[in-house]
Amino acid sequence: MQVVLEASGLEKVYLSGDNKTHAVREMSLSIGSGESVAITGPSGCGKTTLINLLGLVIRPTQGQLLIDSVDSATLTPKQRARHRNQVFGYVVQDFALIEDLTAYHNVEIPLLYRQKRGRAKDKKGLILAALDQVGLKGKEFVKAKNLSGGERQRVAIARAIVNSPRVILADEPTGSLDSKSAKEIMGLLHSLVHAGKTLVLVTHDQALADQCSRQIRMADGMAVNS
Amino acid sequence: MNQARFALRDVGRNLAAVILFIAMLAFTAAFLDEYINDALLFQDVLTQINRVQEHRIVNFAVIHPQQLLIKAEMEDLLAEVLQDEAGYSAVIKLQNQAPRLAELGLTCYYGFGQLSQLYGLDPAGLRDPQVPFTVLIGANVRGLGVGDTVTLGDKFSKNIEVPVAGRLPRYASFLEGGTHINYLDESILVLTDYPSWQSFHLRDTGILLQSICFVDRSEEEVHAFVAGVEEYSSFKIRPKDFNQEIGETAALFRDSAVTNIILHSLTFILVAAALISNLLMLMERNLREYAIHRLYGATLGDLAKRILFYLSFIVLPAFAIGYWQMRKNHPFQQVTPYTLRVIGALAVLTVVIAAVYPLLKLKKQDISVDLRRE
Repeated sequence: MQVVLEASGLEKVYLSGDNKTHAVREMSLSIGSGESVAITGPSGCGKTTLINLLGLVIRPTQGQLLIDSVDSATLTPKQRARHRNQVFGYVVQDFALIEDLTAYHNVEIPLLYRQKRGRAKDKKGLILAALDQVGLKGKEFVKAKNLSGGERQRVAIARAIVNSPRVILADEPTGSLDSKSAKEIMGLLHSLVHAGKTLVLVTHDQALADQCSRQIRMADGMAVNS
Repeated sequence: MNQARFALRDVGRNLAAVILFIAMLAFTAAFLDEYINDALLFQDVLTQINRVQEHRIVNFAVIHPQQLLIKAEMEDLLAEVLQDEAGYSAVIKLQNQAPRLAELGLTCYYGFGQLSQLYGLDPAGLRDPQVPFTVLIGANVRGLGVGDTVTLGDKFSKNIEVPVAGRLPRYASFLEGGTHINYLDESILVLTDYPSWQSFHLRDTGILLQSICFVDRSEEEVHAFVAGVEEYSSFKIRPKDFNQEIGETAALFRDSAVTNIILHSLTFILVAAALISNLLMLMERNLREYAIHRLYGATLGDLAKRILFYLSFIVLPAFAIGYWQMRKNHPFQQVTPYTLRVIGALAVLTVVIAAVYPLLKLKKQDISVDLRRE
């Protein structure tokens, strides 16, 4: 199995005045292509910080992160942005949608920053296909603020997959949803794994973690088992 | 174009403030030409003064008598004094009444003695001392070209046919009476000498006395002239220090230009500060949206484009409206290329200045923090 993400000695320290908070410490892990990995642990143990480190949203204070064997520290800001656009697809707990844009225009966002911008017709096809894949056919031109919680998370998933990223980083994707919607969303995410995507899922719900092929349990910023 | 689209959306969400800023900037820009012209005028006055200050120049205040008496000796005195071309400069303005020039509405200035040398009006040396009248046309004169023949004359003169010898340099000018600058861009300058003028035009001693400037003449010569004029005519003339007068004029032009520029700059700074504050508020509202865009691949450069587009959508229409208003206020005023360049540069500068601080702030954005904003 090809290794997509490999971290060694990864640390993130937040400074607030004289106070140092070790959000992630001595984190080493390896995630292969097509795997589904759950990161679990109690609130404040550093799960979100870790997924942000892996997704190039924040920079580590120390340690090394290899993405497809390339050291992320060597990437320029532009290359980091390109990786966020092409390698990763992000799904977050509160959906991170632009409320006054339609589902269509929210899903369009990653395509605006693609290196190779195709024809408008192709772009439209990709957006409609992504929305169709998450079951939102017919709701393309409804504004995000007018959609239900489950529908909004579906839009977020469509946005995460529209650019065909290899890794889906999902941070508590069902945290704001009722159980029925949560089940549907998890079904969607696992269908992506079956289609060959890698899934890194942050959750404090053990039942959801159990659906993944591997779990990393965290406490106080460190992995306690994996 | 995507960022322009998002910037337009920002404009739409901030429409009242955008309209207010466009109005404020347009109002400020509408007066720009006056300030630019003031500054350019000061620069031109200074250039001409620097040229003239190399010489000691005396002009005359003329008190016109109630009863005009001119003896025949007065002509001899003028002819003698004005025989030495290097020792004086004079210019007489006439509204041409001969055909064609009258049609074109062109004012004619007749320049004598050192006029063209003093003010750099004939850099190509087109004046031929053997030719009684050398006609030069202003840089902006249309409907008349070099080589065309023009008829000079008014109701007090003969009409004479003269070919146009050349064009004056752009912004060619001379100082009149030590207090005014006269531009010749839309006029005709006829370089001539006193005897030729005498043969062409009826004598108008009063106008001539008013415009004569002695160049590098001794005090004795000046006093002798004053005494001669008062002896042979009922005119009273008083010598004036032209150099001192133009120094004072320069100070007036400078004060006016500096005051206007300071006032205008302050207005601009206030509007720009308000614009920056508005932009910061917009950014504060948009931070989560920027973070979403960056999460999905936008670079800081992409967001900078969006901010620059937003500012351009305010500043460029404002300057365009200001320019339109400016033209409406002064429909007959020539817009110099400098004015257009300065307006363009100021518009770009306003966008850049207003963008710097917000962009520096954006550079420090923490995507993970801003994603969690409400």
